[in-house]
Amino acid sequence: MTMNFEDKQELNLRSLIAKYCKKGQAAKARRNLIKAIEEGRNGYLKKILRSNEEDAIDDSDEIEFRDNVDQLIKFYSILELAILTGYVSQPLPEPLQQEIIKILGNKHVAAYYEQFYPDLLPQLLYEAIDARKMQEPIGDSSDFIKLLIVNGMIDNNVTNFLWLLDSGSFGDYDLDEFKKTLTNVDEIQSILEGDADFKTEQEVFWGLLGYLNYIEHFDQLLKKVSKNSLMESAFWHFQGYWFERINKGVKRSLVRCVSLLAESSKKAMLATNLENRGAGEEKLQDIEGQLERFIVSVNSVTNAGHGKELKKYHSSIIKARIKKQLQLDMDFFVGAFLNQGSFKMLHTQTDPRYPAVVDFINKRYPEMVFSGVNIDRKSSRISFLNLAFKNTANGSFLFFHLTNNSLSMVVVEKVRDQLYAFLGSINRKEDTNLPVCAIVDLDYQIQYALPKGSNDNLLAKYEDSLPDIEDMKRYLVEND
Amino acid sequence: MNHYLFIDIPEGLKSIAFCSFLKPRKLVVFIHGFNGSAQGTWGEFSDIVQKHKSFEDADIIFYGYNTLRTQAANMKVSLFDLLNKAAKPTEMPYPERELPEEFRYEKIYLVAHSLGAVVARLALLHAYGSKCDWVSTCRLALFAPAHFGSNIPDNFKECFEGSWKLLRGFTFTKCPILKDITAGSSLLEDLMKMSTEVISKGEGEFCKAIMVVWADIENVVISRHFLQDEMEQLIPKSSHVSVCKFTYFSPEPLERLVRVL
Repeated sequence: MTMNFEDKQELNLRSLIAKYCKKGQAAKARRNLIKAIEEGRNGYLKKILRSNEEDAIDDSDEIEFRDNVDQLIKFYSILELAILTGYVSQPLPEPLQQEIIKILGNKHVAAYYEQFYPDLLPQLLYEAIDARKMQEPIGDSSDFIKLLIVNGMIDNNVTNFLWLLDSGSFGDYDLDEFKKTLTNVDEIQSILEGDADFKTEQEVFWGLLGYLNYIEHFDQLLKKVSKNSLMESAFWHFQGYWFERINKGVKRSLVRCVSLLAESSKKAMLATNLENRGAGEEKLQDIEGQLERFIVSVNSVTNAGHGKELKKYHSSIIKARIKKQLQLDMDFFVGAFLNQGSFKMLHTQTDPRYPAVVDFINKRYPEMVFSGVNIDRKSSRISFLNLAFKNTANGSFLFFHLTNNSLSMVVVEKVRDQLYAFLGSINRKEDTNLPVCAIVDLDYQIQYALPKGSNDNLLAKYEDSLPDIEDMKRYLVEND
Repeated sequence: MNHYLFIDIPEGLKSIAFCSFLKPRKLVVFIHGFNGSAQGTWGEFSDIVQKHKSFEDADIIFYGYNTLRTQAANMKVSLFDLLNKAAKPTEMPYPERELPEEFRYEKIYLVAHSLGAVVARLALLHAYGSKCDWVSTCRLALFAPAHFGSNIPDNFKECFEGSWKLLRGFTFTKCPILKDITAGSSLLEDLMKMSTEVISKGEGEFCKAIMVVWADIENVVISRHFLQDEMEQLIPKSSHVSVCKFTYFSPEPLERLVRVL
């Protein structure tokens, strides 16, 4: 009995979940995160998922928790690649979608994979599910399987070697000690013969060889799919974070290790091949040739240019989503903010006022339609968030202007001129002639309000349809 | 794609299995040679088997094992343990496919390269000696088999691929397997003796390889006809290492194999 394509895709999804998420580290992370999220333990999540640049991570429980979360995020990356290659069907089952939204949509989890350790694949997964959007398959599922097989080459020995490479150590045995091992012909010979005295050295040594094999196979795979630049980029991003780190400083150490090994191999060969010069030459060429090939491969896989296509794709997804939210073609904003060239909804994840304000307006004022969002980052501390709603009853626009310490509303009739003027006046800290309704600070204390019935013509015209500031204040406090 | 997502199987070293979406009729086990790896030895076989019609109804195992640390006789026991379990798929960690517990494959193909051919044949003889009922369904398909060993065991370093080429300067004389694959070794003599005995009893179909492919440029193993194996074929311009490597640019290894499956 043959099986149809959709049935196969369903089985494929079940297989992926069984292999990468149902047990082990990813499963632990899933359980722990869902529990913490459902119990509202935001302070705990904020602390444990912090950036290590902000505060070093050296508690073993924290390290274990974060390692588990890394595996869960890896699973989500796999899921995204499975979707992009048509290996699984869309939409994903509803319970799985809800779970992904719950986990990846949590602001502290989002900060982890969006800001601190940027990873595009889970971002794409979240975006697509959140927007209820089907993604177009762009690649071949057999290449996806190949990627998973190649990824399986990262075993415990390789992980141990990478730990050393990334400034870790096993007791006193660190990278410098390992480099000494690599210069010692007798020690390497003992490792190759399985001498039990060198257990740590053995594991790290085989880890180095295993990682070189991995790099070679990964490079071959990238070349195989290179005609499909987006697929190539997506595959690169699967290991992107680590490769970017290699590019930044670890690469030199990796190349040095391999060069030392090659030198020791040549020394060993010269010591034993004195009689047979011909065979010796061939071996020398083999060793040097392999070293050159390795350097080419490592330069190839660490080339950050591989990552550009997916970044562009990601940007286009975000822009398309925002444009769809706009009821009018408001060409002066489509979400302009930059963080190392990537397009991110910073404040949607970290500023609680944005969803709260949108929610408040949606619930209380159904005639107001969300039109879009604009974020303007002036410095690392100060940024402005502008939300626009169109009043479909009378055609006006209601803008919320949020800064780090204030929130103001303004009603404008004409989008472009008056909004520019309003934003300009706020930036220059001038008094404005525009109908600013209220300015509140983060404690929702009203600092300034135009009383109803004021002489401002625009306010008078629209004041009945303005949100009640006290009502909004109460709502924001209750939902903070 | 005709198979479930690959499964890591605990036997051997980084062995993986692909299970057919269909009710399987055959099992195909790929066994690498000296210093090979479960999939690396075979090029893109692990890719094509998931799509090619000849493997649609096949469960497939890519078996890996450490060839440096032990002797061929030990390797054969490990392979036998895997085969004895894999011959009954309901005992493997495969996805649920509603196969009855007594389900058995119609045929089990052992596709082996170089030293792997020796280990495969030894494992089947071990199964015969253990009176396993599945052994009569087994057939060997061999690439550059090492049944007569090598005159210059050091040439086995030609099998070094990828990062292993960096190690070509070191010696591997203490590797137990090298003694086993030296021409005229007691192991190879035993292999010949046991195979001859089984065939002479009329019970050794599993001992007669249905495909033998030699490399065109063979510097590693001694090429000689083995007992009642099928007559040998050559793949032009192939080496000891490349003879079994399927790639989309060099499809001959696949073409030769599917003719006999």
